[in-house]
Amino acid sequence: MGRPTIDEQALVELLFERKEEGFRQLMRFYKDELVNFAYRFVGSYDDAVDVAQETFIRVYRFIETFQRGARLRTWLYAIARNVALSMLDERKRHGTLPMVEKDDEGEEHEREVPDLTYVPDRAVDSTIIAQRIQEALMKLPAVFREAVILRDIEGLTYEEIAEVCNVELGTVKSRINRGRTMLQELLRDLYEELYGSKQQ
Amino acid sequence: MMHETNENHESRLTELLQSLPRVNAPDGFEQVTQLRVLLDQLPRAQAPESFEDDVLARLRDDERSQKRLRLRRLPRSVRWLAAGVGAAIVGGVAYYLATRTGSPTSTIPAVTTPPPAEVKIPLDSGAEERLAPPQRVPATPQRPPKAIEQPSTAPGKRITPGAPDQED
Repeated sequence: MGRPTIDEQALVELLFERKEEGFRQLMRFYKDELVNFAYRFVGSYDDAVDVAQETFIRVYRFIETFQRGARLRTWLYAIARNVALSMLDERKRHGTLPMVEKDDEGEEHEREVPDLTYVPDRAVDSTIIAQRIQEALMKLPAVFREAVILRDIEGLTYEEIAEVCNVELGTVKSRINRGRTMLQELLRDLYEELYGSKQQ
Repeated sequence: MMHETNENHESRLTELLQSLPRVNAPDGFEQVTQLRVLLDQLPRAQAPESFEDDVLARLRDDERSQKRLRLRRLPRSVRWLAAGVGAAIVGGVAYYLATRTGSPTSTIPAVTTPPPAEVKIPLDSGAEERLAPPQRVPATPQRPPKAIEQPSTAPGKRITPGAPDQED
């Protein structure tokens, strides 16, 4: 992709000086990436835009807490993830009761009751295939969903994902593997239609 | 000689490398690859046009409300002090304005009444009687109204409320 490069150090300096130009530059560079991540994670375009806006507002407020030398991109993703998780929690409080379950490795996470009324945003996901993949993503528990999105859609490295989610590298790998397996299961019918063979 | 040694080395290296255990693709490799291809082909959501301006507007709103919040969080004593100082300033200004508009009475021309004229009364005899003009008497302070005498409650005098006064 022909994405322009950015001088992160210079940008960080501008942000520390609270220069509006620096802030605008940061938004110009990362807004689409964050909106896309948030959309795939929370499932609604309007909420995704809200998450991304809130992320930048927090950057502006808490820029002093950013450690020079750290990766700005992972910091942004970590904030966006926290904001998105808060939004999902808020939704849950108004919706279903959380059920905690343990996975094979003894890790506890909330079993999310899939929202049967969920409809992907058709302005973003205009094809049936995209809509079905987004529906399947929304059925994954958040910890697996975020891992798969960050790795396979946003292209972050395992180390970066570990930093964003504040977990060990091993946990990231296992979450990605489990997330992919669950997603394959959910997309079994689509696989058959697209590739014509039964998946294992 | 040298050439032979090199060849020997190369063949040993190849043997060694070939002896390394083979690593195969994990189970489900193709499916995972297909899945990743699908995820990679998903359309990208983009931020709306007004995104940056909206964020900056929200930031400004936030700052304004934070200022208001900070004011509300001031200790009660400080708020009372500020209110007192404000009231004193307003009172001072009001007093100053009142004294400035009330004092220059001297600038208003004094109303002078002409001295009373001599009154002449023609008499039948043709003469005139001259009356001296009435003397101006300085206004005497009005006496306070006479205290109403309370009916005596001396023994022997009977008072019946509502009954006309009885003359002794």
